[in-house]
Amino acid sequence: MTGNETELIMQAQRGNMNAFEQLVQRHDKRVLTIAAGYVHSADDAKDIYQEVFLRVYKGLPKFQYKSEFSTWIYRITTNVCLSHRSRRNRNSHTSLDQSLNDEDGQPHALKDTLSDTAAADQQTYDAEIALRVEQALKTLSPRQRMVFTLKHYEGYKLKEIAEMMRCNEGTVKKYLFEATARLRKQLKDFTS
Amino acid sequence: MKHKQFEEWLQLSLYQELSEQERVLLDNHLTTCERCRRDFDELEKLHSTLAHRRSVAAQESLLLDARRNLRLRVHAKAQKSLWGEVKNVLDGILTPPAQVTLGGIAMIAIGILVGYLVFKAPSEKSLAFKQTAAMEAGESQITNIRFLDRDAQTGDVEFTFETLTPVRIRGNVNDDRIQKVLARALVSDLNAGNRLRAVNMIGTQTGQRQNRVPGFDTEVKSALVTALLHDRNLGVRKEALSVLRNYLPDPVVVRAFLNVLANEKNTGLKIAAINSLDLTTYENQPVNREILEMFKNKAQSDDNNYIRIKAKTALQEIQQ
Repeated sequence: MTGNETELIMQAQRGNMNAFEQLVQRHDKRVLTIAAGYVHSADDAKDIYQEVFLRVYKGLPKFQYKSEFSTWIYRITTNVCLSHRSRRNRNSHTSLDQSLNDEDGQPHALKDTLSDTAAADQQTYDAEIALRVEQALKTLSPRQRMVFTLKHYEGYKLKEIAEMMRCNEGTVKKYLFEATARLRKQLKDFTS
Repeated sequence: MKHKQFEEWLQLSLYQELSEQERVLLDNHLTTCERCRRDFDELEKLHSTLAHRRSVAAQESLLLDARRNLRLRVHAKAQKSLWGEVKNVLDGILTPPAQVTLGGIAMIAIGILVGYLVFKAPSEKSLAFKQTAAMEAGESQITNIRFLDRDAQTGDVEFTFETLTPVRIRGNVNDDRIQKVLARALVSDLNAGNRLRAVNMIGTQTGQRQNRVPGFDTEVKSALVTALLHDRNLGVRKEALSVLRNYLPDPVVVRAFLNVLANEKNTGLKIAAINSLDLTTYENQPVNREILEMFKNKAQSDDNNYIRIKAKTALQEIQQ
């Protein structure tokens, strides 16, 4: 934790909203990335983001610098992810694929980008694999999926994941190995 | 050593989680164990299959949307909790019978106050005359006037109004008080032209900033950073960036510039931000890691060619 961050935390603890916003902006991209990597849905990721930072806001006055501020936030993030219930039943579900827009805000639908048959075949194949990967990840338990997405997709070290999830490295490894074994089984068609 | 251990190491080796000694042992094992070599190939295939999952890290629009919603919810919560705290304090201090008694007293007090306001008309004159005096002296502007009563026979009239009293300050642009006023105008004036003039004036003082009081400097810097990141007017943001360059290599300013690189929609401003960050200056500073991360990200994925090339070149320069 830098001196500057400590100062911001202290100001935020005294109710300075500007300081709180600065703290949020330092860490929120990672929080959203972790959430989106875990739930793979824009709506659910945004829900988790809101819940995490509302908990941070509520808990900030009691934050006692026993851990790094970032570790504290990511710990809250993993907790919220693990207890999150997807908004699958909603009428207007937005998937991350649907929300991929160009810079000018125009959605770029998969079909618009298919220029020729070969490219179309390749893209259809890639989309099929992506779908199978997503389905396979959904068969993992919440903790296996959390560890796996943090390690494999976000590149966190085992030690960092252990801190975030408040367990030891051995437990993290166990979840990682279990997740990998299950994924190998689920995606056997593509790996053998 | 058990075979299972090597199976686990195979996975960890793909994540660079093995020590050098473990890696050597695994490499030696792989030269002799056909089963592990096959396992290793399969794991590599699994990784390339898993890579088909769409990356979700670069969705700025999602992040901005989430930030907007959070801001609204936190502000709502802050207001709610303020009332909650008042209620909690009262609940903690007063027992239920005392609360009823206090409520009664409050109602009586409100009644007396209302009665006083309704029947005290003559005494208002003094206040009204004071206001009028200020108006006659040309010190105030009258605004929001509301006519309450008019007696055509006696000529008596009654109305309320608000006064805006202009304050005139003359002093040096390096004066703390002048700078404070300018900094506050920069973040609160509704007129973009005024905000632009305020930031311009602040910019003229930076030559002597080394000798300034640190606390004060922070306030001005904070106003400039707020303007750079949140002002709706592009001109104000540009001018704020230009003035903030004088504060480099201050980490707060560096982080603000990184924020511009990550979130700003205007390409010109992003280019100005990346041009201001000289990687060699920050090599031994804590903020260095954040800068390198951002430059790597920009070198790979920024939509603008110049920014990608600039980031790439800067990274290559420090590697040499």
